[in-house]
Amino acid sequence: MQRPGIQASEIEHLYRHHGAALLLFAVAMTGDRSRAQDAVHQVFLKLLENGTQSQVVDMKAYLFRCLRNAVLNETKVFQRSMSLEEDSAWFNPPERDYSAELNLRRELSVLPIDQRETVVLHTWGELTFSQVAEILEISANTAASRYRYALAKLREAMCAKEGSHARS
Amino acid sequence: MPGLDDDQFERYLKGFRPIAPPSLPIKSSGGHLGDLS
Repeated sequence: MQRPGIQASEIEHLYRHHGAALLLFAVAMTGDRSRAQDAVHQVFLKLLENGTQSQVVDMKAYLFRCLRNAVLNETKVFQRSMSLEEDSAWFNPPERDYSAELNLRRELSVLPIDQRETVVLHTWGELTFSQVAEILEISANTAASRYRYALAKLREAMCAKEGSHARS
Repeated sequence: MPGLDDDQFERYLKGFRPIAPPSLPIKSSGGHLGDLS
């Protein structure tokens, strides 16, 4: 089996290190954890089978780009909003605050898809705006402004809910 | 949470850890589904 440019042990390391963020990115795009897992597995199994093109320098960004392409190819129609599986968590929340986890998922799911992708890639993918820009095929300035809009919306929505819970 | 600035809110969001995917199913040399992890 030929794996140009990458060894199985490296792929294992990449899966362990980036698997959670990749899965989050896919589930944030699809709203469907099962489809998201399939897409992540598809990317890594192809990597194991075929390796990479030798010119890949940013493996992390490459994985996110491959995953996005896999999801888009599978989904065909890229919906602006998505339905949320309420009983399928995306995160391990701090202090086991599962109502906050559901709240975060709800607010992420109503963001426009371009903002949702950006905030997931930058916050949990820990990618720079340049890397996000490369993955989404936009400029770094656009990535940064999408992120700022998304963050402001999330904060406003989550703080409003927190405030209403505190009053009730 | 109300009153958090951008940096504080970013740190709050990062406190939510994405859930890891299940182990990657791969075919071992014997042709069975194996486990990369």
